[in-house]
Amino acid sequence: MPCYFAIIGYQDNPIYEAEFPFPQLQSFPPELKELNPFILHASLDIIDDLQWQVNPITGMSNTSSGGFLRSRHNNSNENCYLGKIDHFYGFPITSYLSYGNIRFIMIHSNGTGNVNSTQIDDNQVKLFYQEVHEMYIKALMNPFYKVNDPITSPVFDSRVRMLANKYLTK
Amino acid sequence: MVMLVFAIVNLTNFSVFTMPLVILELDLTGNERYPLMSRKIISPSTSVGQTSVAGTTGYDYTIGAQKTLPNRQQEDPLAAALYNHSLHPHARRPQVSISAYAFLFQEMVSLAVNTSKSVTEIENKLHRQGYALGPRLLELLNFRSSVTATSSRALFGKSATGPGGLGGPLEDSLASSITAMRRRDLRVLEILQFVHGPVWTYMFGRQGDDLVKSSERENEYMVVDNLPLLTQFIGHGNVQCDAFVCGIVEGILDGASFPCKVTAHAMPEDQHDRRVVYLIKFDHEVLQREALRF
Amino acid sequence: MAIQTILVINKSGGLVYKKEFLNGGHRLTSNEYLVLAGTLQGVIAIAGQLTPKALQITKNSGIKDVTDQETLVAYAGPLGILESQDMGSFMLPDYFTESFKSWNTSGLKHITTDQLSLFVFQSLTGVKLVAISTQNSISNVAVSIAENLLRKVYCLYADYVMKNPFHEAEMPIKCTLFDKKVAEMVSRL
Repeated sequence: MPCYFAIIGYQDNPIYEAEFPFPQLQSFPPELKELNPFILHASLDIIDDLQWQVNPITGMSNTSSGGFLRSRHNNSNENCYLGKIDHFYGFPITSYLSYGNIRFIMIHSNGTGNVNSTQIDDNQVKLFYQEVHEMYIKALMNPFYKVNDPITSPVFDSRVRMLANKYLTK
Repeated sequence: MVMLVFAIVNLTNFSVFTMPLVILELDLTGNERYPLMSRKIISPSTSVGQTSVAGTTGYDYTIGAQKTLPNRQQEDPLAAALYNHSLHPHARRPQVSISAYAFLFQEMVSLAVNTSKSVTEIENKLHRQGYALGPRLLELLNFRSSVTATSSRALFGKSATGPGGLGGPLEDSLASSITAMRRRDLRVLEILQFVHGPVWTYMFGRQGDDLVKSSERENEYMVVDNLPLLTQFIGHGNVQCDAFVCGIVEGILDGASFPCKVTAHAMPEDQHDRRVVYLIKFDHEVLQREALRF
Repeated sequence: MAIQTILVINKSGGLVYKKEFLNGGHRLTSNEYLVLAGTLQGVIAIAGQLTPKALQITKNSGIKDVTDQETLVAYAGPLGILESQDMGSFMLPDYFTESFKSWNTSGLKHITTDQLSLFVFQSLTGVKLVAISTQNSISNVAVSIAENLLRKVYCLYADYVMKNPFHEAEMPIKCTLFDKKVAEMVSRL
């Protein structure tokens, strides 16, 4: 399934974006493709809320907005990986927060337009996010990179795509 | 903009402390304290319709998301070196000579002194140098504490890459061996303990000496250091050189969304005549959020 | 042996640091100290010239002979260093615990009068540390103790003067920490 992945900085600015067209170069329908950044930014509000919840995955908190949309079968008490936070006509949106509150967001799609069949494998997606997080920290270690600037390194780009290939292809 | 990159090597026969920052960034020109990303017009992502060109040139935010396939052959070995290094705490030599670090810090201060007109300007420059390190430390140290002993498989970053297969350079990643990431710190006390514990241990080889809440003001906390390692040869003069550490702490707290101001104050006591108190003054929104959420 | 004064003279003969420990008695004025420093610098240079050329050449060529043994200064105990003390960038319980090779091989080491003795420690970089004591000691032990003490002062100099960004090379030393550390060490003697 094609995915649209973005890293959003703390000023809601995109730091990195990528589209993963697979398998076989399957990509988003053209009418949706343009919307992707908007869909993704629309879910930022939900993340802002989840960011300060004690248990964002299970939604066991005094505030519960956004909770009903989310996958609940993950019972860990982690608060980096937020799981499925939102959806757009059946396309699930998953998210991950880094320690510096840099947001990693992804729109999953099955690419066929069949809205009900998009399933996400939480474990695989979580691993993907963790790996990208590690890559992001490595990018941060570059003294010539300024926090919250776009990551333009081709190596970073190719590594993230490799990770997507490894974890998100089904 | 002038950037200086320092690498610190270990010298023998001197006392050593835990690895400080291998990388320091000195931004000498920007008057804007924490400038936004450079502003270029961002065109819609559909402006480039061509897909699946082998090889990538990296993310370009004026173009948007691109659909390229991974291509390992095109990696520049020099640029890839950064991404091949392991983040594991034992992957590199964790200690550095205190003399080397003292001399490096001396040069940083001298540079600030020679290019400044007033004491506040010197302190601001040191503060800014530290501030750039804050978010990096925040991510790195939290990530490292997520790594458990079992994941030492990825200890040394330069494992031979397997024959072919896209997973080659990724095999030594630490993240794949992490079962649970450390929780993000949500409360003021949690993040302060993080600063007082892991951050202090990483920078100075020991925990902070005390963590105190101000009895007068709600939003003030103090981290106490009886013998600041960085300025132990400098002492208290007109210029408060601990502004550098203040910058680091402020960068960490700001990065974790606890906006605050950090200042250093020399407060000698009977036993410790070089005792320094780092006063952390949180913005009021932090307290409001805390009251609302927890 | 009571230390009366410790001086630091830079490589061009200027007095950069002066610390007096004993009150009372006849004291030199600042100007007289400056003259003393300049004079010592000259005498040290002349003493270097007086050393027989043959001796200088053997020393410089690194040939091992009996005289090499003589330039080693034996370690003379802690001399005012406490075990619990913070040693700055030095790792040992003391700044050093072994005998060391004296760098002052062809210059002035020791002056004795009826009233006092003056000891000179020379560093490789040309910094000279001078201690004035109130005894007229002529034994080699006294010289070696003084050299040990001055080497420790030199260690302090390396930490608290050279690592201070506000100190300018060859200029008078105005580092309070150095001042304090030297005073502490001498007071514990």
